[in-house]
Amino acid sequence: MKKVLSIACVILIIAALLMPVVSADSKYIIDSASLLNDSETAEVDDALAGVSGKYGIDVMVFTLSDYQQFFEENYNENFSTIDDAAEFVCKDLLQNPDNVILMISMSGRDWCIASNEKGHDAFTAYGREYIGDAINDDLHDGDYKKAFIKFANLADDFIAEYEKGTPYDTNHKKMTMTDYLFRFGIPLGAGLIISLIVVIAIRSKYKPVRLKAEANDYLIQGSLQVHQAYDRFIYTSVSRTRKAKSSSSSSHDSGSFGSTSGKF
Amino acid sequence: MAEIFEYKCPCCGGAISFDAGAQKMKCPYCDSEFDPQAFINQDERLKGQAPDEFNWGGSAGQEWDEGETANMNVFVCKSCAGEIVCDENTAATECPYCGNPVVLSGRLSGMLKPDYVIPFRHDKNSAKETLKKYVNSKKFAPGAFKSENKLEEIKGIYVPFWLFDSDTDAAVNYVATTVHTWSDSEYNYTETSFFDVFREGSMSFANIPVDGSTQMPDDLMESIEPFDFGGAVDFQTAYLAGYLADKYDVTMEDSIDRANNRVKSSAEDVLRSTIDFPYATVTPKSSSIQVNNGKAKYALYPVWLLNTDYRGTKYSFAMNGQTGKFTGNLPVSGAKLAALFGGLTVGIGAIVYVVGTLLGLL
Repeated sequence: MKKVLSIACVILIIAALLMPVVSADSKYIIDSASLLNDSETAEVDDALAGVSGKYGIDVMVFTLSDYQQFFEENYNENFSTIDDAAEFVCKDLLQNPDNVILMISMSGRDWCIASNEKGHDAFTAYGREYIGDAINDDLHDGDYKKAFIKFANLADDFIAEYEKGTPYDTNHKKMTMTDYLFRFGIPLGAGLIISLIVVIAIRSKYKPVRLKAEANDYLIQGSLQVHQAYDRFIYTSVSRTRKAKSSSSSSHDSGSFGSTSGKF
Repeated sequence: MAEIFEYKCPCCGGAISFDAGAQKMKCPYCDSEFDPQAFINQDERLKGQAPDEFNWGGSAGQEWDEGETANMNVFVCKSCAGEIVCDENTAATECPYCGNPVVLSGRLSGMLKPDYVIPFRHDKNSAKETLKKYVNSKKFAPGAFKSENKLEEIKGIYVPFWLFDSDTDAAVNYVATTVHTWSDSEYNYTETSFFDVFREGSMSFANIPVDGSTQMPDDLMESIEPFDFGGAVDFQTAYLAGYLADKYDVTMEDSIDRANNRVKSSAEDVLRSTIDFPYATVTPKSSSIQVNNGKAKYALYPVWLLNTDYRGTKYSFAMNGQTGKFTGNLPVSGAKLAALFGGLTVGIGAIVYVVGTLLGLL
């Protein structure tokens, strides 16, 4: 209870700095960029508060119009990357060192997920990239509430797995139904297709009897004479297909802190 | 009236036949060998002889219905006097009682006489050995089929073929394409360019064979091509001794369409081979083929043939008696194929899974 109160105090301080755009009731979301209305903010805050209170790891969302301008004006800090700004928040602004935050900066359409201490143990580079990929499309489409709720739900799942003893990581990947299909369906499909080709090839070898389509064996050598030949260009058609999108995120880890950022 | 020719050994009087290995008439009893040419005069002499007739009385059996015997003929073996029953197209066979080779010369005379014959170059032992290797090399043929096939029943048959010569003028339009691909940051692009390609030329074909017997499957006969007409000789009945032989029952006129189809396809192929530019695709769009100076010949080609039944289905194997090329459809064991399919699927799936996991792709 004491911990929750101390977190609330810090949040209130930050919220005061971000006034007047932040609802006074929000504790785990600071919507400086005004991406959500009041009801959406309350809904996201409830989701984040639920996860944070459940595990003792602060799970927070910050939205800023321009992170460089914000930290320069309010903290006299110049950050060249959103990762540096997120590290400053995780380590210096939040009282609870066990935290994971999602920071959005609208000027450059940047997102960053940063994790510290126990948060860093629960959210490895793999985990942050996984969540970043999961919310990138919603951020791109402007569905911020959906992205933030998804962030809260995934954070719940990731911390729960960490609490069980083995956080999600490259050697312990989070599996969805699609992942299971991908992981087992591709080998099975490859096996079926290759086996089918082999079986069809074998069957055709057992049915070699067929009519000859041509009489090339009976062409008199040297009898061919070409009297007329031309190649004329008729027309050209061009088709295009859109490339698969990639969030192009990058991760950095140092000691007990790590961050992953990308653009939406 | 058809006649029976039997060639007797001048040394011992035994029935002799054409030996594919020696390319001579050979006596199986005293091993004497003779040039087939030496029997031409004998053929002429025998033409003047009347066939034997044996009329039996008695009440056994019953009368044939009208038309029932229209396609059947009875000949009497000159060696053992056994009756040989065969259909109207059989021109050479062997006596089922004494095994003597006989040639029914009446079936090959006049308008039906072949212009050429390619003598057998592979004997029965060679055919049996080839068939044995062929079947044993097919691991997915049912085991029962391998043990049940009857190698001894393989027969050497002279099959009637119409041979077509032609000078061919061809004009073919092709649609050809080239494909160029590139990409930028947002899209992958594919540019397909289409070309009208035209080729006109002339070429000649010689001795395109078309099976002239309805008893021989056309696809089986064409699968053992090519025959080398350079090995053909002027027809002599002596070459038929020791083998079965049929006369044609498909006329030359009825065979022309098959030859035309093959000429048309070849003309398109040959002219296509003159297109040097590396197009991505070349597809015939339209063609005009003119066949000039078309000529046809009638010849007998050597084929080793085995018909066998397996679980109610007939399987035919054929070997080109001149080149030794062997072919024939085989049944496939469903159980063996299913086992292979299942094993491969699991094995390949496991390999892909392990490799994909190790490489971090899965």
